[in-house]
Amino acid sequence: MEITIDIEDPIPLFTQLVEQIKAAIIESKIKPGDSLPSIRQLANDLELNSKTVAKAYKLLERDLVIQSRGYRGTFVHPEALINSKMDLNADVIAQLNFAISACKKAGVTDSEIRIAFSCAMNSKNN
Amino acid sequence: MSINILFYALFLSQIILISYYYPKQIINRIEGVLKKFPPEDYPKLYPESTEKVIAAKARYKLLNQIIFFAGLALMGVYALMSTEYDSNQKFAEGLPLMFGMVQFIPFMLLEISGCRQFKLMRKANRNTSRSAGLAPRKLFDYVSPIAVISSIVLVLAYILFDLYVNDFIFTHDIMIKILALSLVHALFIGLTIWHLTGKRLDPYQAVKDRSQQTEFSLQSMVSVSMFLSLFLIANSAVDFYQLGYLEIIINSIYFQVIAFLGIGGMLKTIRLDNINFDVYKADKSVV
Repeated sequence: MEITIDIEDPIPLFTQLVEQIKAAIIESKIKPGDSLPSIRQLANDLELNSKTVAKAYKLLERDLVIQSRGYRGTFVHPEALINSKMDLNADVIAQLNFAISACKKAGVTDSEIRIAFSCAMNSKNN
Repeated sequence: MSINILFYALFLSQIILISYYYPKQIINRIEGVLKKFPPEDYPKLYPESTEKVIAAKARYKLLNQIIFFAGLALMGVYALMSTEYDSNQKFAEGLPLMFGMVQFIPFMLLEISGCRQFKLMRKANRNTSRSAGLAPRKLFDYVSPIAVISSIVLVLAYILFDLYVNDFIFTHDIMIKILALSLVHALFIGLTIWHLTGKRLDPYQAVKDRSQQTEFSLQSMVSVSMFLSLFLIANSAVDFYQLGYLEIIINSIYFQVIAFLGIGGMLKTIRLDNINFDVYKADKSVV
């Protein structure tokens, strides 16, 4: 199983990596429990910075698509197939749309929403 | 006298094998690539003009021819001088080793030239898409654990044997041998890590071809490591049992086995027919 990334593509490199690994799982090219290459190996093979691969792996780990088992390496998560199909971005957009609609209904202006959003993002609780 | 005849046969075999037979095989291989995969159809394979490749091939051939005739001359000198020594004593035991090192110079130059070619290939590579396999490369996927363990056991066996024959005293000679053995193995470990996780030299090389190359390299390193330990054990044994006159034979066999495992193994394992040359075609990114 191989993955291909395009360094000229406007999609960020780590996103391409995340999407391709998820696609490989959905297409059953790699299965739950299969081991994945180390960050160093994948970064060198794709001639990328290891931080880019590490970021992709971190996002995949957060989404429970892969799991790190210390010195033994990185493996495909047992629930990877279901988790790969979940679109976290779409969920975020849906929730934000709901919140913005509610604000607008209450008469809040666009600029007030933007300021409130910035404040919420910058607050210590987030 | 019989030892002398055996040495002549072995040294002649060393000269022919390393400075004639294998260079001829390599030249045939270069010519085969130039003929079957011409620059018009496989431009990515030639970052420089074919004239430069042909010139490098000619230089390699000439250098080997010079070493071949120098070897024959050395054998003549040895024949003249060896008549005056006691056949049970050491005589010119370093000759096959020193000459063997010289014999490997053209191969090293060829390797350096190959690395330069790869560097030019990487520089000329305009392809924006990059591919990689999603399977981890692990040591035991390429070499058997038994071979690795045997290699470690042989290193330890050599150290123990050398200490045993020297009454467990760390002499200057033993220290140097152990240090040399450690350095060689440190180099092997470094090369293994590089093969498993490092960057590929050839930017177009197919994943399958890289895997095959990694397998050959790791297996040949393990074999060389095992044979190196055996060679050192044999060297200590001839000193211990006062069979110094055999050292010249062992030294010649050592270089021939190293050439057989390294160059011979490469020619046998990595065959042109099995390499994916489509990756070197113009405007294609077949991997």
